[in-house]
Amino acid sequence: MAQVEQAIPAQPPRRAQDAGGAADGEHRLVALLQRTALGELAAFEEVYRELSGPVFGLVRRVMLDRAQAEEVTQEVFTELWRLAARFDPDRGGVRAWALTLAHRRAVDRVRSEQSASARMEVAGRLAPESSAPDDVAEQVEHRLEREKVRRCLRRLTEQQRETVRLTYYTGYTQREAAELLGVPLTTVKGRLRDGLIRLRDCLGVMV
Amino acid sequence: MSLPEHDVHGLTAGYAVDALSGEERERARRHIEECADCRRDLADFRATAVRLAYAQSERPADAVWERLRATVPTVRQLPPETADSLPAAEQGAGAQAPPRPSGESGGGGAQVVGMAGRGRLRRRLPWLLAAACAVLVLVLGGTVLAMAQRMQEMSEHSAKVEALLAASDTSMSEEPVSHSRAQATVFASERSDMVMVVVKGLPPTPEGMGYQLWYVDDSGMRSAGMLERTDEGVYSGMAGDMGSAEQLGISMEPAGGMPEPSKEPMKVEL
Repeated sequence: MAQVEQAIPAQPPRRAQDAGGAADGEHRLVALLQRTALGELAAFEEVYRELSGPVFGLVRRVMLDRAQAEEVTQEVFTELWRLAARFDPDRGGVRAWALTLAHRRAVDRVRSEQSASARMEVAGRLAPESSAPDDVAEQVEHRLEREKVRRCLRRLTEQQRETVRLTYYTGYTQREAAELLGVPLTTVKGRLRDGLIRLRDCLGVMV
Repeated sequence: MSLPEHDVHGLTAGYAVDALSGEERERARRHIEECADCRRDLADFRATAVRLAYAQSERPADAVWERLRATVPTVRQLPPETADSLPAAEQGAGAQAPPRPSGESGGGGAQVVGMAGRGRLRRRLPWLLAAACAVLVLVLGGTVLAMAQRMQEMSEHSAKVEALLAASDTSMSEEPVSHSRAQATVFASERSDMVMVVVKGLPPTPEGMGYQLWYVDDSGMRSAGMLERTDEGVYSGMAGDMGSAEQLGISMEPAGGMPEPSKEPMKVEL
């Protein structure tokens, strides 16, 4: 009932291939989540170790404030704990599930707490500086992934990049982005869609 | 439902990155559910967004895990969805109809159940746990879908909601909101020291403002947090530490909340 995300079945995975690793990483996460659903704290801890970096990084990117982002990260993982048994591997990966939940929550929080005008002010701000003292292997992996994404973002048109940034990273609605950029809503919709398609192809995303 | 081609795809992309407002989001969700191409697009876009998120990876403070480790063992895990769980919830809305909010039963339909009355009329509501979804569907006057969305929004509170609805001394009453045409449904449990209120008919607040809930007792008023607005214009809130409150107050305040009401709040009897 509470699991709205799963109300929409995605296509059965052709091949699980995601960020930060490949299909076996996803299999491992699914197994860990199944054990989490049985109340196994150790399995949940491993899920946390796997996903807390991207979850927190994404939430912080949207919310900017570190303390608030940590609070939301905690809420997101509490949700994952609560809903672990409702995860359905046929409907998309664990990472997409967790990050969709995290993004939704960060965006909803920001929208309810900050007026659009306040967010407009910070929109020009750069991404928060990364602090994370990860271990070396993690650092390398993250840097590679970051580089790849950055490269692909550069291949978008300026307008597409701006639109992806304003919506996904800043948490604007399409309407707010259109207002800010002074273009019609349909233009923003087109840019977002084309931008995501180009990113998908550039990153070699396979669902 | 058929929408112009590019509108549909605009919705799917916007949905995938949460760039839709609440109402559009729900519309998109319903549409995507029935559109195989959109589901494929959605899966693609979400997988792409995963990569964007990974590019932002940043390790949170260790305290986050410390807190989680301490708290999750007390958080009830939901069982898997079984074949009969969803239909049960849907049927429940009709089959186990609890008292309808009296908003539609004609003028003055509200039963006033004061603090004293609550002890006498206290209804034991063990069925509420089983029919929790159904009850809330009716209370919120929405559809099962709206309910699902609301539950999602409230999910951080839902363990508390479940606990409140399951408490043996939980009472439910319909109360008018003074100085307004609004109607409140109040769930209260003295034993759990908690109250949940769902209010229909309050005018929407201007940008940057919200409704704040207050406990009113002999010693004055204290904040019980902000009410949250749902898509249907229904406001709801939940708070612990009810103490010996006799009434709830509701006043419009800046969205961040105030330490004290800035004007005399509207009142709801407890």
